[in-house]
Amino acid sequence: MKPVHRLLAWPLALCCAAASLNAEISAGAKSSFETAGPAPSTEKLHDGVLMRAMRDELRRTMRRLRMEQMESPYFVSYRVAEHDETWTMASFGASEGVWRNRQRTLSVEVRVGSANLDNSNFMSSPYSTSPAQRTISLPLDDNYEELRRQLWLTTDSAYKRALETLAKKRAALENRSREEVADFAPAQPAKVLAEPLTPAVDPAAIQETARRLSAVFRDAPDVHRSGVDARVLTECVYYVNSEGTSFIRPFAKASVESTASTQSQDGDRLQDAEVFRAATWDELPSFETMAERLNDMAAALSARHAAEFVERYNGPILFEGVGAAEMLLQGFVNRLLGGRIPVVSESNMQYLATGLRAPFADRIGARVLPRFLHLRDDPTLGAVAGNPLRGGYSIDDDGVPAAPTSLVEDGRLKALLTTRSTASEPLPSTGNRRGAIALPSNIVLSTDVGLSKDELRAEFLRLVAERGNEFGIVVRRLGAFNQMDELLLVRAYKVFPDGREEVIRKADMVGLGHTTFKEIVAVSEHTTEHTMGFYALDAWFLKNLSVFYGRRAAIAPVSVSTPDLLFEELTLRKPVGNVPRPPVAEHPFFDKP
Amino acid sequence: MQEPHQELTWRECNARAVRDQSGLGAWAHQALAVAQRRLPADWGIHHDDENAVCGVCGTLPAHEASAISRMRAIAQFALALFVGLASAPHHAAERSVVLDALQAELKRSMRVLGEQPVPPYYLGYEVIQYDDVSADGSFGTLVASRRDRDRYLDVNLRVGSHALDNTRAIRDDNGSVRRDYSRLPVEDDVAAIRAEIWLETDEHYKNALERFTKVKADVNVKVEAEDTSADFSREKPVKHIGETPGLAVYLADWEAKVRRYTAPFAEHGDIYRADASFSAEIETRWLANSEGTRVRTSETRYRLSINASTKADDGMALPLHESFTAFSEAGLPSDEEMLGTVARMIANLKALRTAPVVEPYTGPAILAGRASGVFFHEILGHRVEGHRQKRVDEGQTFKKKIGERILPEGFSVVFDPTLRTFAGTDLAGAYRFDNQGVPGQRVAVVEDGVFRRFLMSRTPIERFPNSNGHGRKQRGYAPVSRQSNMIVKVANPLSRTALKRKLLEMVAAAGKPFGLLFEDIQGGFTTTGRYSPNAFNVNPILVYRIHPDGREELVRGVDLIGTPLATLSRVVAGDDQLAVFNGICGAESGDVAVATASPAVLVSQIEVQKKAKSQDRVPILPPPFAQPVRRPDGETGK
Repeated sequence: MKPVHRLLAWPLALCCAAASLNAEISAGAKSSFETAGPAPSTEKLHDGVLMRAMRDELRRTMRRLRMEQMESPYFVSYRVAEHDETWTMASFGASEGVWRNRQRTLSVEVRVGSANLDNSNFMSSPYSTSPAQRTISLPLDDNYEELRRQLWLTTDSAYKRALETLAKKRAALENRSREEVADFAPAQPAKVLAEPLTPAVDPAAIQETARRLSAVFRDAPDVHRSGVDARVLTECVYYVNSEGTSFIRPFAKASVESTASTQSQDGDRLQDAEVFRAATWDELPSFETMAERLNDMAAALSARHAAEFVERYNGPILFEGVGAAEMLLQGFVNRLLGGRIPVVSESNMQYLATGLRAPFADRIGARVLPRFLHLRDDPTLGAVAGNPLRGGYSIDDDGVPAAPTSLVEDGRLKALLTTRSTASEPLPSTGNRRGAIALPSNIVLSTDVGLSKDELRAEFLRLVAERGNEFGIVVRRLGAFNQMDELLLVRAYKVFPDGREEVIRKADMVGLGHTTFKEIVAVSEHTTEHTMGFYALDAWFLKNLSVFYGRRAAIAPVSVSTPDLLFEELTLRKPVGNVPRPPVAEHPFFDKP
Repeated sequence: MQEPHQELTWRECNARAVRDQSGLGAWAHQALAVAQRRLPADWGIHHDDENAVCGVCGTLPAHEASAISRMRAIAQFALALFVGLASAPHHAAERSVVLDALQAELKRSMRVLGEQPVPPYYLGYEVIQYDDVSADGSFGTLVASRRDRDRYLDVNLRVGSHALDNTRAIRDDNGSVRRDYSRLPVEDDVAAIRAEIWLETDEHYKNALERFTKVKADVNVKVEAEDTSADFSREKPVKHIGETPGLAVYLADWEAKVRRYTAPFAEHGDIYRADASFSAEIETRWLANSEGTRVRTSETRYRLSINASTKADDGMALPLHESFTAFSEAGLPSDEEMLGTVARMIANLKALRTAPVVEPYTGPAILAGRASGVFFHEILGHRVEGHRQKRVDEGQTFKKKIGERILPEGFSVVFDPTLRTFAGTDLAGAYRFDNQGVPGQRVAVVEDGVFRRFLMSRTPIERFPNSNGHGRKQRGYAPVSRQSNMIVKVANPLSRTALKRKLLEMVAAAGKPFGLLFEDIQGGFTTTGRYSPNAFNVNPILVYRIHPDGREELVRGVDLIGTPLATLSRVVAGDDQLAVFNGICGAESGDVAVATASPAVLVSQIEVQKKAKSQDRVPILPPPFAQPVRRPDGETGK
């Protein structure tokens, strides 16, 4: 049994590390070109030690790297992400520490064979989809020779791996057919160079803010566990490839995230979270605003603490504000990511490979939304209605310049989001590679027939009455999908015909499918702009491979601009499962014997 | 079902990282190791408890080992340069806010939980704080440096009675090692600390109830246990409030040093990995339990290590490792000594590349230096850990050997955590109190070749009802009996020359073409269970063939293997040159720092087997920089 154990553990370790790296890298994929300083001279940026080392080793590789009797690489890219993050955690008024993490990560992508058939897109074990990429950490020092050494050794190793993988893939194809789609879509050479950002970070100030915000919960006796996590990240990605593309893409973000949880009297676990995001620390909301929102969250949790369940509900549901954005992203946009069915080395892995098929891959042209809705992804968009969008970037991780993609027009599916590895001919990549896979950037749902707030509410209540229900449901905050594909409602309310609202403890939304969003019957004219982390499990095709990423790996920030959404018919159910006992002792701070 | 302990897996990972040398920088390696080690805690992947025990990980850069041992919540391998000088010394205070918080919550928990139908009979808290500073270099560059403070809580709650409680091993249970700890505020805020202790205690209480029910069922359903000793020993409470020193380290100095120590490697295009790691760490522990123990202790450790590796033309990865541990910065080697060490490593790496490969062999051998230390650690040390004599799936090699000869006359083996220095070298396995609040005690395990007693935690075994201060663990694990400083001595030692002469006599008598000398090792592991061969494996990195004419020839490609009783019975003699090895040992209670001081020993018959090796060739292109580098085909690349 030992070998099995070892072999299992190793790919997991690899994947874990790779996932976290991907997470960081793609977090950086969001550009902050709007916050970048004045454009510096292109030569200066291009001639930095790092870019020079990358270019020189790339040139040598393309000219000379070849193993006897074997083919040379046809494509090589180097991507270095410089990452500098300061973060802190605090709970109940005390700091748990402040940390800083500076690192430089190199990803080398080597492709052998041809764009039509290369070493990528091959699954050699249930735990590996053989990305053509190899990732290591680089020294922080700008030491030309040392950078060259690491580039040399990593390229060497990636090239050997590539040859091996291609040989295995060709062997597998001796007896199997494959989708007749090229492994690597063409792209025009591009050059996008921006100055790296160097914002001042004051760790003590970040620590103090987190500490003081976490003290908010000293006034919340019903909350059992709470915490505040604050972080400031600056990143810069340096990229060159053998087709002549190069870029320097800076990125910055700051966030404060608070989570709180409790157990109701009968033991039911309840939790909630608030996240504040901005490009820089100074652009975050004021301390008072954040503290007030955390107080609201504590109050909402407290209200749910004593609230009733909804045993079962079928009928109209209105998603408002952030709830609509969360619903759109988790329930619909995650199905619009293009994927590929890899060639498998063993036929018993075919079921895993088939799981990577995009659910909408065969539905281009089909109606997936009501006729009055249009959906697009636009990484070049900085704001909607004056509200910032934070999912954008200037150029993607394949070196494809960012451009808007129309996904749904008049309710009909037009395209899926792709990378150079998942694009299907004759379409080129949509320029959505963020980390290892295609992800959305800024998602905009629009309409010409939005209702005013009052009109939408009236329509909602009319549908409730028509359905013969005692009440309708409005949802303002969602949790995440659970393992049974049920979406947890965090802040949801019963709405009675007289407009009165009553909070629900929690409920699961069940039975969401590919056609659910066609059930939208009306939307508002006003929109909400909200940014959230796109989690690995949100991508439908990663669900089968979640072992790679871990449940909590947020891959990239994605912004959504959406109207409020009214669905005619959805199903809610009381969450199932065992309920743990509540704590035996009282919270020590509120325990006054 | 026998599963290796995760440490094994991890070492495998480590070994692979070295084997897959082709450019996997120290960094990625470390990240992987850390990520890997995170799995049990964060991914819910369980590693079976069982009885495979790892050995000392000689290959670990000390910093890496300490980073892993700390198992940071986030695999953050980078730096904090907020201040040049670390925190100013704390004052030794009579009062401790942390202990106050622990005591208050201890008292309240015992009162409130005491009113439950099944009350706890014991509750213990341990808070561990790490203040550390570290710097990592590679080939003359800085890869990372950082400064951290983290504080964690471990809870030990027992229901039932000393005789039978929730911690008893359930037979035939493929139980998993559960890592369980929580992060505490690093600030001395009683309310915030207590809030965390409260929920952790509650969770441990509920888990204890659940497990106690299973334990009682196991006792009723299964045959009577062979070892009927109690589950928890009674020990005297201890009160000790030690000083909490500050860490005065100039990080910039060490960033410069790790660059300096790795720079000489950069001139060699056939050395594919060369890292130096420095770390300075203060581990402060606060212990409080319901028996009245109140302890605060602080240990400061400085570690410096160098790892470098090359690859032979046949693909075999050839790593070398040097590490130093001291209680003070001044105890680490000087720049001059370090650069001398580096020069020696480079020479050895070059020699190893062309050294011949040894085929599987059995015959006489000398184990010297670290090789001897790891040999004793694996074959003897792990088998005298008391709790192993109780588990029904353990091999219990020495359980019935008390009073019997297991080593030649004159050999003594003592474990002594109170010994801080040996022959001028600080010993990593020193501590004042173990993780159960019991004072560390000197334990003479083998006297004049005769086995006397076991290393004991608070888990009693037949004939040993009490702890001798060896209940140890890494944060998040339950303590078990573990090694501390192992001192192996011989009453009538031979000189090294005499030992070699004796080896050659045995070679001649056995008609063997040569004997072997093991000088340095990478690490080792052993399995102590019943369901797999009860064996050990030591991974040497510097091995010499000693020919009948006395000529010594560097060789490569073998692991030293064997079974414990057979091998111990073949130990013939020892010399007078005791070498100290400081290392990190991993087993079911996590990673703990240990040391061995042992002489070179002559073993009349050992066995070596082929080392697993990478099938990857050396790099195709020559190094991208301009110095002469020997290529496999003899071409000199520029």
